[in-house]
Amino acid sequence: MSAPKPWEKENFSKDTLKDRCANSLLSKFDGHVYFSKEATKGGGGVAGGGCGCN
Amino acid sequence: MQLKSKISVAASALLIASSIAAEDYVSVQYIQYDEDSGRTTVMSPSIEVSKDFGADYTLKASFVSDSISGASPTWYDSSTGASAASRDETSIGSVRYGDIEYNDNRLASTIMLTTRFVSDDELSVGYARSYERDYSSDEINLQYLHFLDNSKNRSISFGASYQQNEVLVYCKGNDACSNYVDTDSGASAASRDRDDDDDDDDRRDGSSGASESFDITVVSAEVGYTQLLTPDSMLKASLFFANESGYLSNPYMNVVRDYRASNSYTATIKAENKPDTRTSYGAVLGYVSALTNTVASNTSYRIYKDNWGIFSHTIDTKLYYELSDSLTLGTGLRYYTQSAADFYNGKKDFFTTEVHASSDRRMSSFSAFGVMLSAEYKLSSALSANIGYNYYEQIDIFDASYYTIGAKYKF
Repeated sequence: MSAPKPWEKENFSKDTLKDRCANSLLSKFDGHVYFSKEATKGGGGVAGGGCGCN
Repeated sequence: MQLKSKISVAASALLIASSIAAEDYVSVQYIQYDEDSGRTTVMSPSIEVSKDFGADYTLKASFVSDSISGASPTWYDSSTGASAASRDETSIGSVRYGDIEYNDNRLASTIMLTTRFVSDDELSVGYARSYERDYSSDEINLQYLHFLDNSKNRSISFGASYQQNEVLVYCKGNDACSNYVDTDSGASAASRDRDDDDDDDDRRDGSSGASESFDITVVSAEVGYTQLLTPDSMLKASLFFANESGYLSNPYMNVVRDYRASNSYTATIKAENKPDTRTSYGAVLGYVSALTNTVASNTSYRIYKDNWGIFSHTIDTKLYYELSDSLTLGTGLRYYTQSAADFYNGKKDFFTTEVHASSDRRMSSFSAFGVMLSAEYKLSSALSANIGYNYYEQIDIFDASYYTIGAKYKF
């Protein structure tokens, strides 16, 4: 296993390697469902905002 | 040899530049969420815009409108109606557990400015606002990304946010309220962080019955580490922490106290009372891999603990397959399990004089799983459309489905 050289990083620019294929609106909605239905909070970044759903 | 070296440097610079500069885009999504038996329905249109200003700045903004209708289960006094406000001493025959109907609209917006420095480190500053009839929230957040090596294979990030929320609470049967006079039982002194400002936020909300506003403050922090392992794989790890203080109870959740199945045959429906502070922390470990040229996976594990007694584990994995240049299919599985809060009990004959008491099922011990299916189709190099289906089930409690449809335009 060796860390990639700068010219070997093409894969990391693909949307398929990002959550929800880089569709952050869908990621936010997923998080909103879990946040409002479960007691666990956090782990998905500090930005997001609050809501009265919990 | 010299030429080869120059080409490598040029290619390297190109790839670094492409990884730095995000694409400008507009994304619109519509999500329809439905729980079983029509318990809760959410219609959620949203839009997000991202725009680069040179190579050093990116501005991203989003707006979402949630229309929520349905019912939430709790205890109530059936002799005074099926609502969260049906709180009083009553006969044990009138104690019911059932769905309390509600409707709400939520408007939420976010804006974030990302700045890149000469070192390629990034600083993001954001603001988020959310507004509901009986709840409002303002948040500022800050994130800093620092590359640990010249090859940019390792990075560390720091994030922090401060959130100020205000909740409107119906005071009957709620010992948290200080200025409410219950003609039957009298009022109790407030022990919580009541909003005593002279501004206009001490609203009265006739439709929800809320009659006193309380503050909630949330401070969050997160430290993340990313390591590119190979040209095809990446490891991500983070630690997170949050401290909440203020009115952390749900204003529409009730408990039954002093259920006497003999002698008086009475019981009292009261507002639930969760602790006024909560400290939580956890860790996330993620592994992202391009399994082949067309298949990629994204798997994460999260562990969480708080001082309410909640201890949880979450495993989430997603797989994407580029079926053609135009079509990408996705599927995902998620499993979640949590222990119960120390103050939770779902029975009607359990609570008596306990200070903290909740029958909110989200505080109970349960497991849940989810399934995700998605498809994204590129109509052109700039325009793509997506559809998706998600299934979520809390085992033996409820299940829900939500459908997504949207489009993204890059410019």
